[in-house]
Amino acid sequence: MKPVRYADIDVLIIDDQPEARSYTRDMLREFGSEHVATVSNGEEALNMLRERRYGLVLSDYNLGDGRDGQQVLEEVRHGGLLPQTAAYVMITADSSPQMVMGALEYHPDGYIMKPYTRSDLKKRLTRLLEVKQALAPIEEQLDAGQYQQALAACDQVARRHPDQIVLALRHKGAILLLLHRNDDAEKLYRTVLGKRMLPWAQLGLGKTLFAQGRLDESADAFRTLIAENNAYVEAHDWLARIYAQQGKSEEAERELLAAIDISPKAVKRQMELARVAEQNKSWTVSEKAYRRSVTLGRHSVYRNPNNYFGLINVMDKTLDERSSRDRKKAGDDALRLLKEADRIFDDREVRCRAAALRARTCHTHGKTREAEIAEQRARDLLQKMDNPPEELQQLVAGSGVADAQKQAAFEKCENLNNQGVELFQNGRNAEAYALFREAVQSGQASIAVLLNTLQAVLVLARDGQAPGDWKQHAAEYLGMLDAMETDSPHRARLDKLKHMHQQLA
Amino acid sequence: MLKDSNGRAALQNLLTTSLLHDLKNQAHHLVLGLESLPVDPAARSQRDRLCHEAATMGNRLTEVLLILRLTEQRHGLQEDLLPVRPILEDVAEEGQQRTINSKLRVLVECDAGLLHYFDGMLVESALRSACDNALRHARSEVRLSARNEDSDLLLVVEDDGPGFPEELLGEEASIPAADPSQHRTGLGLQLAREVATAHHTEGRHGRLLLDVSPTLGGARLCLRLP
Repeated sequence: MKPVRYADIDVLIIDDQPEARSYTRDMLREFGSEHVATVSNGEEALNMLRERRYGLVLSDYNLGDGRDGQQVLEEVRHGGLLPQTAAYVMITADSSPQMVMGALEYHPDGYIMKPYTRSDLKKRLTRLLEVKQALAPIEEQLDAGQYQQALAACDQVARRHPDQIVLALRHKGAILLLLHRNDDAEKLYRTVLGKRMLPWAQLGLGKTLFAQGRLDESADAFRTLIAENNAYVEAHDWLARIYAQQGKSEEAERELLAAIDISPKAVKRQMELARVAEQNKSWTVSEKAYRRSVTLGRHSVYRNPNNYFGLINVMDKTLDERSSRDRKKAGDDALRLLKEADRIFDDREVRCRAAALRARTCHTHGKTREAEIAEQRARDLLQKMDNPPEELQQLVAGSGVADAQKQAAFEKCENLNNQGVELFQNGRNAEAYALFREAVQSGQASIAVLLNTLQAVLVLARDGQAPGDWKQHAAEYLGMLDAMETDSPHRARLDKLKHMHQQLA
Repeated sequence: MLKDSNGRAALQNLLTTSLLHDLKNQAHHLVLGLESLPVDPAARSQRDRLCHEAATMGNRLTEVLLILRLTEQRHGLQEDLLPVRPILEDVAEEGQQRTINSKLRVLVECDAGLLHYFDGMLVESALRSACDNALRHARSEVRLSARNEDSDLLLVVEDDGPGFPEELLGEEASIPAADPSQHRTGLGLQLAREVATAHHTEGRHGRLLLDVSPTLGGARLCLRLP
């Protein structure tokens, strides 16, 4: 095999400690590397990876605030920011299960455990790069999307590098699945498993059976894997997926909880649990999972407004069971979350939904004025949207009032008012007043409606057409108006009508 | 909080583990710091010795952490079909670099194509610690070898030193407690035994055997993995 040439490989080092960055960079230069870039956090790393094709990434697991090494890797894999031929190496000071297992799900190409000396590092990296070199014929084809050729390359690599047979077989199984050659994949995995229970092969078999629609057998395969090696968290995810398909949503929830118990940091799994538990009406479980999705998602590609909205919805479900102090806390919490969602998601629909939920939350917690402002914002945003989803329109329409009945009353009131205005403009004042009065009695009259009604009854009184108890009516409207906060344009009109009322009385 | 004994044990476990991690990381910083220290040629060998001391310290701590992980038993082995020779070569090279006695040689005997099922990280740690141990007692040679025997893998670390104390020989002998006066903690042997027994298939477990090397005359440690 050709010796590894460091000069040909662009290196990216991710470490939050400046000394560690420069040590590692100096070491790599000593090994022969010519292009070595260093960054101090995940954000910068992802930007660099988007701009240049690196052949080797050395990432410390601990990166201070923000993303950790696992989350960077998760995002790298998710976004396809690194070709298969490149090597991602996780440097860990820590062999704690949470870390090791978490990283296992996103498969770095290698680990280097601290402490290491210069020669340790060189030896390990060289070893790893040699393996990558041996696998290159397969991985280059995978990067090119040429699965047939990649498949052929697997056999070729296994022949040429018998010591890498396992990695060649792992690739081969995965490629067969990609090509939907499920029967061949099953044969491969069963052959490997005939010799020894290897977790990756058992996992592959489970996935193959799932792809073949043999759900019960697939579930058995994953259960066997869990019994043998509890650390394979993915097996729990697959079981959860099978249970969900079979309509056993409580079992699905249980499996996801088991997976989270082993590896709590994966956002996608927390999101899935939140959703499944919400379906099962396990509000507490769902709330916790949504909350973790929000927290973990802050630094992740899985940052998603639905986590915020889901959390608020689920919190609402348990509102009645809370003490008044907890209710208030939940309300403040919800408002804080909505503010955050509004700030970080630059999206009209998200902001509209956030405003509508803010209005609803404010209403529930008796903050009427704030509710009105939020509701107005939601309406404004909704109007600017081209094709707002039906469900969002309903949410906005219903956001300011407690229930649909109230909403219907409100709409009826608006209708009566509109008709009344038309009649009044045509001089049919008595008929107009009858409609206005009905609108007021619906209990949903706005300031504008009340002012119209008051004006109509005063005009009728001036013209000698008012009902006998018109003074009582007028006093009733004035009382209601005084109880409401009126702002300037309404204020002037109200003052005028009050003046007219005094003269008539 | 943590009133029950389980809770207390868990807390103690957590404290121990975090302390060990911290110490291990400090050893790591010590190595890096020493390595990057500019020294004149006269002081170089002393710096290298300090470096090795610090690295050995880190390795010892890693061993303890691995033993804790294995005895906790929550997570299974990361077993796979792996080439054996590169691991022996790595361990030998590292041992050779670490030893201060320049007359000592670490040799490897293993077929390039030898493959077997095992947890690479665990087996490497056990071998590294066995090799360090052999290097402390050997006069001129340490030999690392591996071969298949009845479909088992036999990993052997032997030297030409005075050999293991009588009471350690055999398969069932218990590994003694720490004895600081002898510079011996028994940790390496304990790790080797834990690693051996953690490997199992179809009801057969791995084994650790200590005896006298027939070719070199010193200590011989055999890890037999099913």
